[in-house]
Amino acid sequence: MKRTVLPLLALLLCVKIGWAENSKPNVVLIYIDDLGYGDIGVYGCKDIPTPNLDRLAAEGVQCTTSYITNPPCCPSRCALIMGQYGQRFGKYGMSRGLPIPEDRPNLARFMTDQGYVTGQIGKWDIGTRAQGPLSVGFTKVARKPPVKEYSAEEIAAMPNNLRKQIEKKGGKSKFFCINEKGEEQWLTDYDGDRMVEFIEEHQEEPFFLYWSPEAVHSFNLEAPKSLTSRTTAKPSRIKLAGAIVSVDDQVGKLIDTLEKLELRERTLVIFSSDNGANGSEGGTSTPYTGGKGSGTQKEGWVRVPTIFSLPGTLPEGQPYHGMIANFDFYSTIATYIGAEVPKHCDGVDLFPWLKGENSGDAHKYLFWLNNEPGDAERRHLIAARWKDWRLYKKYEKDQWQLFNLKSDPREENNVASENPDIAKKMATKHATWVESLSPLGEIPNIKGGVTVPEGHGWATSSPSDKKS
Amino acid sequence: MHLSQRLTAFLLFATLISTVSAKERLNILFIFTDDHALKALSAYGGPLAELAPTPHLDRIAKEGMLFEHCLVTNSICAPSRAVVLTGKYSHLNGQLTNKQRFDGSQQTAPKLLQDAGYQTAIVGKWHLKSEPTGFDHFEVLKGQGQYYNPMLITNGKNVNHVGYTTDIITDQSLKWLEQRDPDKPFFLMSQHKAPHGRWEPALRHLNEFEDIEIPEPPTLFLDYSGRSPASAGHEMGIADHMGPSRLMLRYSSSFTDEQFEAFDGHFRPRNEAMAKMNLTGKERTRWNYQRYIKNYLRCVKAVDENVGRLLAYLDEEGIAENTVVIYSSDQGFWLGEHGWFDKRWMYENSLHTPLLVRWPGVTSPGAKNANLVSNIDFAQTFLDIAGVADPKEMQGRSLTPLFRGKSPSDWRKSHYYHYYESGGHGVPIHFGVTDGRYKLIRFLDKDLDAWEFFDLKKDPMEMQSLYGDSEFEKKIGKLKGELKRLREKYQVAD
Repeated sequence: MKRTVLPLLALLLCVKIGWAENSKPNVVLIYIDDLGYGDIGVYGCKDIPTPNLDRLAAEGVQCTTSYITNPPCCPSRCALIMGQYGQRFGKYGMSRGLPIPEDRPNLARFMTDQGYVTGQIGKWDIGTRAQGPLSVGFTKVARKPPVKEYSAEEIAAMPNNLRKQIEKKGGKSKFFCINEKGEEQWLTDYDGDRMVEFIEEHQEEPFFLYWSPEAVHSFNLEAPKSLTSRTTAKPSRIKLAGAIVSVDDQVGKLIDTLEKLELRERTLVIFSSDNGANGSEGGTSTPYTGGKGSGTQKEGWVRVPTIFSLPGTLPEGQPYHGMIANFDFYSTIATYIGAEVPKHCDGVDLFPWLKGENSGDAHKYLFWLNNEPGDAERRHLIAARWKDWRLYKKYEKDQWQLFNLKSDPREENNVASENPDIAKKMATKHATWVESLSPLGEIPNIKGGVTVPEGHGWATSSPSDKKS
Repeated sequence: MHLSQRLTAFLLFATLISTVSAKERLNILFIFTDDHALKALSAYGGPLAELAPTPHLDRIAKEGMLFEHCLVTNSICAPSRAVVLTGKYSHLNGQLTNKQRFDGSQQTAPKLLQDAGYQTAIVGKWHLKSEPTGFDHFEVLKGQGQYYNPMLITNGKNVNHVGYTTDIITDQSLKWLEQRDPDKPFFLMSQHKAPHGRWEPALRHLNEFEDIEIPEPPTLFLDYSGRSPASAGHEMGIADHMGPSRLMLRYSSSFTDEQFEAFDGHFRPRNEAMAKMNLTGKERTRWNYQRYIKNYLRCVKAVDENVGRLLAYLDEEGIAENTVVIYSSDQGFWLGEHGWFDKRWMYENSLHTPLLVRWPGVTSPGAKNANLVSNIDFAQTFLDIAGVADPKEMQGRSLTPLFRGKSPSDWRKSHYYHYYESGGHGVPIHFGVTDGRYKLIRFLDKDLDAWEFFDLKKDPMEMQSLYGDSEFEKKIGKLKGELKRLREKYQVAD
């Protein structure tokens, strides 16, 4: 029988202790859409109560310098699931429809090959239309439930801003679905029920569950009073606040389920966001600036809230301030389950840092490059992070700007000319990194093909679909 | 007298005082397990006593007192532990279910003992999430912990150990006793994970009971038709709810190579043989029962041996005479009766918990007590043994008069029970009262409001609820009144 080894424990004890094949631990990865750095309690938010996320952080490690390297939604998710910079497979900007590579295992395929039941719930937005969650390696996918269709009376009674959005969708709701009982249900809440269902069903197998809700992407205008009234948010962001409250509720369901089934100490939970706040919905990146839309040159666009929780193994309530990236999740998960990290991965196993065994940044440098000709101009970005420094410019022809995030988190004072050595050093590192990248990918012209199964319940891959 | 002489005299005197006080002030060794059914402790007799004796635990009963009716207030791990620490019902100490984080800022017996000059320590299972308070030394499992190679949070620091958890908890308890100040009394809570599921036995016990068939309880295939709808919704059936990891078809611990070889070497061939038999229905339930009960009893055996190690230490140290030993469990457990594993119900097997007390010179050897006592009494009992006044708000009563063989005329005649974890293993919220002869239970949860009433003398297995039976109308009415009185007395909100 194949047995794996946890190297850290082994090092501490000078004895190898490992998970047997039939007792491997579980992983739940939660990836929210457009959740800003400053919009949950443990990151300083005051007007949106998030007791369950706060508890997750109190029972885990809050990462205060966590990045996504490939904004926005689609590239962020591709980098996450591949465990590497998107530019390694030609993904620089949005480039929706560009395939994820199949010559190296993505996280879903990897976990399935490790003997895991692998579940996916919610938004996908990865790869080509042919690369649905089942075809890239997940074994079980929650079907996308039908959405609520508003009646003419309901639409007529709507406030103008909401009516405009709903009419654009032909009277269809974005965030109310129809559940299996035929009742209206807030989609995020429906997803949370699927999380519980999945874990209860697979509690006796090693499982990997990936939940990426549609929430809290625009538009949040449908958020009901039952959610918004639980916040003290101003009108400008009360709908977003309601959407975040529901995300928090689902995290509560997850923790309760893991505890009830006595799986809490053997289930690694990772919570993060695909990119920074959406200011037009009222999201904030406090204390940083920037975010979706007009703020894509600033820190808040790429710095996200990230929490790791694994009581008994990781510290509890002790934040980690070093630099990490979303592509580290893959390497960390692989190491945790006692497997070898695939060679293609850019990430590192974060546990030594989260535990305080290693000090400093898990990555000395992180880089960004979006010069994709077809992508929206506002999203173009060339940047590097090192220690407290952030170096960036929009276009190749521009001058580098340099900011010290510690003394100037809002990036108001460009200090490039005062610190030419630092700017030069970071620019050189960036140039070296760029040389290691793959050329810009070509988006294939694939039409048709259903990537996301619809209906209620779960879609599963037949064994013949599985690639090894 | 010169100053130095006076100082010497004072020091001598001080030493004398402290030695005397250490002698006079009793040590308390509280050994606590998780889910230990009375039937699996041979001093309580029953059909398993001869097959699976527990000689070291029996020694405590033989040299001390056995309580026949120690009833818990809320039959589940974390709440029971909070009751033991605080001497208060769950609704007042805040630990209603396993979900909450214990509020360690409230008054507890260990804190009061610590204030009174006791050296206090807890080693082993804690399960209350918050950091232990009131202890000079804590060394506790995270959550449920695992049976092999446990991590013990040692005064705030995570420390990994290699070995079998029941042995290690005793090792660490002994280490703490070794380093204690012998001039001060101690209060040690040595608390095991065992025999909580998933039952992974020690390697040395893998072959225990191997060649024997453990007798099945007569109610293994019960259909619950004699009761309210409450118990039919259970999710603790030996037939349907054990899952691979409770049956050692899957393991929960992480192992060293050596441990794994022995552990897997035992179970794998037997699991493969079972798979080939294609068992279904009752035959599969019977196989599950044998697998379950044997591993459970193996886990108990390791507890028993380790109790023996602690008792031997007291003897060797010459402090047995000066140490009150108390053995109990957070609650009882179902060993296949009614087709169940797990606890939670107010029915007899999970309501009762073992309680053995040896207080040399006070408890008479081999004594048995039949009073209704409870884990709500433990905190005040610890304090009373130590000569520390109990705070008014504690809701139990010191057991020390009972230890002396007396049964105060105003001892409680009824016991209040309240379980709050809705839906855990399919058990609804319920509360009730028993006077030892009769029992009245009310299930009150989502879509459920049902009463049950049992005559425990005629129907000790609680097979047939007599609620609504006109013959018992008066008795039921009386118990309802008693239930109301107890809820008021214990300040339970309606």
